[in-house]
Amino acid sequence: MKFNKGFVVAAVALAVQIAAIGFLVWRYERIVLNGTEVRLQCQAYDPYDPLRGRYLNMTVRKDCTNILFDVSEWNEYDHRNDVFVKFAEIPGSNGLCRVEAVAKEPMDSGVWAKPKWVRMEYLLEYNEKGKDESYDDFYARRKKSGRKAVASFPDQLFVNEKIAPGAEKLLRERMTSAVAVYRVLDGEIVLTDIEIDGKPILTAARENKK
Amino acid sequence: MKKEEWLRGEIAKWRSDGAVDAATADALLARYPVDESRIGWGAIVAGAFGALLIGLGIIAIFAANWDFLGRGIRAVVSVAPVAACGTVALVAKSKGWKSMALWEPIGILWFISVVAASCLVAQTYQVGGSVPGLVLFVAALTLPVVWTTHSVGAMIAWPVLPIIWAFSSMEGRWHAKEATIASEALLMMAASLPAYVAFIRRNPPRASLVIGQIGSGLAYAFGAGLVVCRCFAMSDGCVLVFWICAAAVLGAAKLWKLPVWTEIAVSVAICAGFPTPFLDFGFYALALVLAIAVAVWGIMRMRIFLTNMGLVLLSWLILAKFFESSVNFTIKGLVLIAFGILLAVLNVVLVRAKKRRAK
Repeated sequence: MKFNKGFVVAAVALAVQIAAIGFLVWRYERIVLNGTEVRLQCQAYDPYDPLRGRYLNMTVRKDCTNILFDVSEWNEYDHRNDVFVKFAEIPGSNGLCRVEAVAKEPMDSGVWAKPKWVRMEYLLEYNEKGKDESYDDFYARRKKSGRKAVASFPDQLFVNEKIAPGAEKLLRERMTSAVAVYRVLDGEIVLTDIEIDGKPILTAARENKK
Repeated sequence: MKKEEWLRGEIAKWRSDGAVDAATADALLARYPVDESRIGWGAIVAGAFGALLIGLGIIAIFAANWDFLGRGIRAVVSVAPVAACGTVALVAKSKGWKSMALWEPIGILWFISVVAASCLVAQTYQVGGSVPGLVLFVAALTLPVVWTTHSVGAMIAWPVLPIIWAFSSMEGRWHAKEATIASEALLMMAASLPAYVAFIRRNPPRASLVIGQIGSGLAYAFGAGLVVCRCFAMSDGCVLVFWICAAAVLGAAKLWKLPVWTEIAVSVAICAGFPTPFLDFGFYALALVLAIAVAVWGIMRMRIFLTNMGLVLLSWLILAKFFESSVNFTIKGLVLIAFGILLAVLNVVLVRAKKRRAK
């Protein structure tokens, strides 16, 4: 066997490719296996990625992610992806969680993770604008209403092409009982499943199909 | 029929006719040896197409059925084609195999395998990263495939990745960040140049050369133009951007005597000129100059393709303005017929002149 220049380049290329994809597998596998489970209520919206195929797209419900805290130093509608959020179980909710705090670094031994982003918003929502109210007046009212932080988490669950339409339908129909199941480890968060009435959505979709 | 095969047939005839003796015939045959190991371009294309079908078939089977496999098995199944292609490439390199009938399919299959493995692992682990992030990851991992295999298919496909990355990263409105992304995308595209240079230097067969030149020329002239246009989020100015990119490719074609790129550069420039009747008059005037210059250049060089490209744009520029006017439709119809006849006559004249010159 000759170890010429071309061989060495090809060998390095192959090693880098397997190492990079392997690292991706290791990074997420350890979170899925060893991470703390965090369950957040969620709701559905639209469903396709050109590279990874069909997915169920959902967003964690605002009542789980919106928190009141001091964001006075943030700019208006500021997006931050360098902060951590802390999850806490909602009492009497059968294991459901919500975001409890935002900080630049984890501050205690609770379950902390880096979300996709945290955005500053006003407490008064856009849909609360009065019918005859001018935008200037509404904007002034929004500013006075106070500020909150809204966190966003991984929101795409990639699924089999055959089962996707049924699962998506189920997710839309049972929106109130949908729960996004995450795993959190060392500040990283991974979406592992969506549950409908306590069942993994793919299982529920298959049963529904029968 | 290849020229060597034709010559062998002719020498055999001369020998039987007594025009040359056995020694002269042998000397002539020795002067033009036939490379028996050389595999036809048809085999290379068939191999490449086969590799493409196999790659896409594997992805389709995985996508439809692998829901029942565990995460670990999915990861192994995703990486296996990459490992297999890489292993074949290593064996081929160690044995010193250079036939493109082998390297072309390996390059395409390896390229597809890396793209598929990255996407399938991202899908398995619900990696919530952005599309640009995934495209960048795939681009970084597939670049060595382009460099090592010298596959024309992979070489043509790779510059599309930086273009997709730039498009998915930009917001389509002018901003300093957009300019940075565009610059990075153009630099990334330049990373494919070593593979292109190696492709030109190894003097590929004609069909391979043409396909490679069309793909790379379009990537550098049209793809780079798209990236810059998206960056500046401009409509009218895009015409100028495409002209500049086409001029750069044309300059490279002339400087390094690169085949086909002249036609590609002219085609991109001509196509960019089509919207100009509806833009500012300055762009329209420039497009007119371009059309006339290309047509004259084509006539002087007896190049039918260039002549027609120039004439098509010229006709379009005149007709588009003419049809906007309030002239009677009968006259408009007659003018259309006149242009059609002019185009046909000019082509006949050029073809005849070319034949006369060849004699």
